[in-house]
Amino acid sequence: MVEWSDAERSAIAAVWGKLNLDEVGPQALGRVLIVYPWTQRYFGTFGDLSNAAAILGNPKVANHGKVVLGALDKAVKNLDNIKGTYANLSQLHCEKLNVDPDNFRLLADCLTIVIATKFGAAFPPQVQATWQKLMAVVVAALTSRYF
Amino acid sequence: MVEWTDFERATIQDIFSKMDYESVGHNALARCLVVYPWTQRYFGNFGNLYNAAAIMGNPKVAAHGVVVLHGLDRAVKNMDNIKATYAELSVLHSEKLHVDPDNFRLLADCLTIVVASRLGTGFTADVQAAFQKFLAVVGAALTKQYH
Repeated sequence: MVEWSDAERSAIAAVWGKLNLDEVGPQALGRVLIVYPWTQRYFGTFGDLSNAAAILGNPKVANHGKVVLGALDKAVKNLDNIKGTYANLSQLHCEKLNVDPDNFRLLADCLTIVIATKFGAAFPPQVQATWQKLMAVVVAALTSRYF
Repeated sequence: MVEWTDFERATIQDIFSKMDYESVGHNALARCLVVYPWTQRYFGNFGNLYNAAAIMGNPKVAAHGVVVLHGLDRAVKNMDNIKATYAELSVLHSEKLHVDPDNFRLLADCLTIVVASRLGTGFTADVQAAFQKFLAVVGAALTKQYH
């Protein structure tokens, strides 16, 4: 089981509490589709993804960004059982959606960057380390049902 | 040879021309040592790296961060020939310093986060893509002489 210190728990709660999920979700997903264009292959039904402006203005991308951050909320609220919390989601991503698990890390990276752009100096190294630990645990949990 | 669009060239030049090399170099290297603690193994003679505060306050870390950024500057000034520009540095990192090339990506990620936190909304998805492409090319050039 993953150990979280009190400092880590409060750092995560502090970061999460300051995030507008409806804003950050779309931005993070948009960045993934722009910076790592092969990820667009998973969103064939989303319509126009032909350039950065189209992606950032695409309502399906925005909606799906919110869905993803909503799911991340479950991890933040269940730090002591992220693996169990994500068992079904892991199966879904592997067996139905056939998502290469490398892509989870790419989305985690883009979310971290969005947070850095918003928080500036309020995202010091120790907080970054804690946040990336959470991202790594989430990615591992989402990958846990792959075989 | 790597192809750079006008936007990518302008973006890279713009980011680095406005950058405070001392501060950014220090911050990026310190983050690397905090967030990915195994990287401390390369800096055995740097003194106190026991915790985030010690790392951030360590003058050798600060000095070396600047050295790294000035090394990066050579790529900024030779974007059409990064591979040759870094041939000797690559040999140095592989044969003398024995640095695992995965660590170039980790430092690049930390540098991206520092730049993102300084530029805020100015670090758009397109800018992020250009910056990460640049750092990927740098990483590849530094890895080139490994065998």
